[in-house]
Amino acid sequence: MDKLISTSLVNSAYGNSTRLKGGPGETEAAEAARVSFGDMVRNAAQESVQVIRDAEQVQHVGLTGEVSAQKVVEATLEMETTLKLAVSVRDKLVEAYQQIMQMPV
Amino acid sequence: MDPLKSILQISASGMLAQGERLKVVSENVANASSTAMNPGEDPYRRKTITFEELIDNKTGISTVRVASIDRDRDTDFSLRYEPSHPAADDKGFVKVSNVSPVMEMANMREAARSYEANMNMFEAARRMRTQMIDLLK
Repeated sequence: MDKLISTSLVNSAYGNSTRLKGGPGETEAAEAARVSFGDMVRNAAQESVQVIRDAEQVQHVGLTGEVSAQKVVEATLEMETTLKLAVSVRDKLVEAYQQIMQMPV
Repeated sequence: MDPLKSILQISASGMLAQGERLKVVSENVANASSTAMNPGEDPYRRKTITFEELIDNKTGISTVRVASIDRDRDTDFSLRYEPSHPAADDKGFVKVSNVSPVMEMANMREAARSYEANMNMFEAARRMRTQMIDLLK
């Protein structure tokens, strides 16, 4: 009989655990205070897309001779770096997702 | 701001400025034998260029820009004997521009070297940035 634990004890233990650092209560409060991981990734992705769009625009204008060749090169290199970074981050995210999916439950 | 990214911007401004300088040099070289069309008028006066620091208010980085393109009023024109020229005076002398080929040559070399230095700086910063991103792989 003494191996059974009363429900009230379990409930109070759970209640205590939510007050611990890193518990569900903590995450909600933290999320309200700072930008969530998802938002951060979304913002970064949007910025990357913007950089790439701008570079494309500069390339178009550059072909007509309205912008100097140097500006076109700068924009293209910036686009290349941004794309590289975006691809690397995406690879990391996919890798993390795969690891979670392959986790034995 | 990302320092490596700002290096790209700074070097790019340096390259633009040196390009502008080379443009002025080429104008001087091209106009070295431009004279006036009438007696008493001045021939082509060589152009000079000066640079200044340009501080970006948002990021605080110092880039460079062309401060002014002026005319060289300190070097005198030389005279050449050519009585058949439309701008020749009554003694037959024509005022020729104050462009000195040696000076322009030195200026051209300096602009090219400076451009190269900025280009190397750009390349180094870009390489460092690429290497840093490659760490993610």
